[in-house]
Amino acid sequence: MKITAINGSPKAEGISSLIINKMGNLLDEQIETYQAVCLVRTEKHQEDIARILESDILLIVFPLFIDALPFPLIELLTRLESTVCHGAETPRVFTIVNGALDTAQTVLALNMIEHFARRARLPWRYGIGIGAGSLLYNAGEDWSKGLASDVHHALCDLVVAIKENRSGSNIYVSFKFPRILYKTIANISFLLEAKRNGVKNLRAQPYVNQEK
Amino acid sequence: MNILLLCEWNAPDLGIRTWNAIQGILEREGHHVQVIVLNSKELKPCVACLGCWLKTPGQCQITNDEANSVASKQINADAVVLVSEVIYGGFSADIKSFLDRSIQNIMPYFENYKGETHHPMRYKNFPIWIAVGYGNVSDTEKRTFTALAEKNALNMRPAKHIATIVNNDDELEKEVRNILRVLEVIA
Repeated sequence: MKITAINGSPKAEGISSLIINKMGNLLDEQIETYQAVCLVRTEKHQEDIARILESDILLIVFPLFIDALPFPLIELLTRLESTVCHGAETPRVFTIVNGALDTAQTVLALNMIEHFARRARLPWRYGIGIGAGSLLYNAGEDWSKGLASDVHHALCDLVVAIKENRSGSNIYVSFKFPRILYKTIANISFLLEAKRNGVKNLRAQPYVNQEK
Repeated sequence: MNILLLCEWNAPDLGIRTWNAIQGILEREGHHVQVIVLNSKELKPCVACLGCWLKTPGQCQITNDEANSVASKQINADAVVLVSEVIYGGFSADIKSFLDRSIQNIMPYFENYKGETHHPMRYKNFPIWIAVGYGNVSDTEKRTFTALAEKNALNMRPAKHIATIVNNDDELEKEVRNILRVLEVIA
């Protein structure tokens, strides 16, 4: 089975990359990964797009940007759509969105990938919306226990769905971590990071009346 | 009113006609319209570095393109009209290339807003937000696009917002006039 992942994150080594690596381990398969932001800027992207479309499975993993897909991923998906050869064997599409604290905020991004699959006439399977995905940085090696266990179980279900060629409804999962604590820690860490950067006013309004 | 009209470099004919129609209506009504054509080949992708929140608050650290200038115009406009081909129920890459970089106009921190966790506003006011989509759009994509405008409004908190989709030239002027009237941008 040939599995290809598109990493829609601007970061080569961010959360999306962690998720793709974890999926490779759980599947016990080599996943060929393309980073959208790099692919759309390379001259040989048509070659790579053709290789992606030869896959059995296309796994699209990305962070939520302004409630939707980061723009290089939109660009790449439109090129994939225009390259699909109808009638040929096409990859089955799964997706994982690493989103904001509320998993509900990933709903539209999952819908968008489903719309892409339908437009490109690729078989749509389902997606996972992960809330507060940045916590995966703190999940250690073994996600099966502790705060990432629900995410781990959702990924294991996805592995079964990939192997058994099953479709399903989108799944939304979060971490076993109190929301209020997440927000408090995040807010404090923003202040500490700003202080380290020598920033005195995080609430600066540099553009006030600039255009009048 | 001072109105910022954001359009696409890579717009098909219907997109160009839509933006021309909107500009024409607004100018005939006496509004000052500034048109900015966004090009995803020229705007650098957001690298999620959080520099615009934690290093130079309110300004993106990528400074060799137009994103900061457009962000300034955005926050100082009375209304922003985005004209975008609907791609998979969302904005086109050209329009999204700016929106991804516009997080400089909101704050870090998390707070509860209308039952969800969002970031607070950086500025006291955010311009009226009008998303005009166009293209051959399915009903489900249309629902995603209008829901996206609602979600964006939760993040940006404009005084008023609306999303609409123009499917063809016949409904173009009527639809555009309708939404501008609903928002009281025209009488």
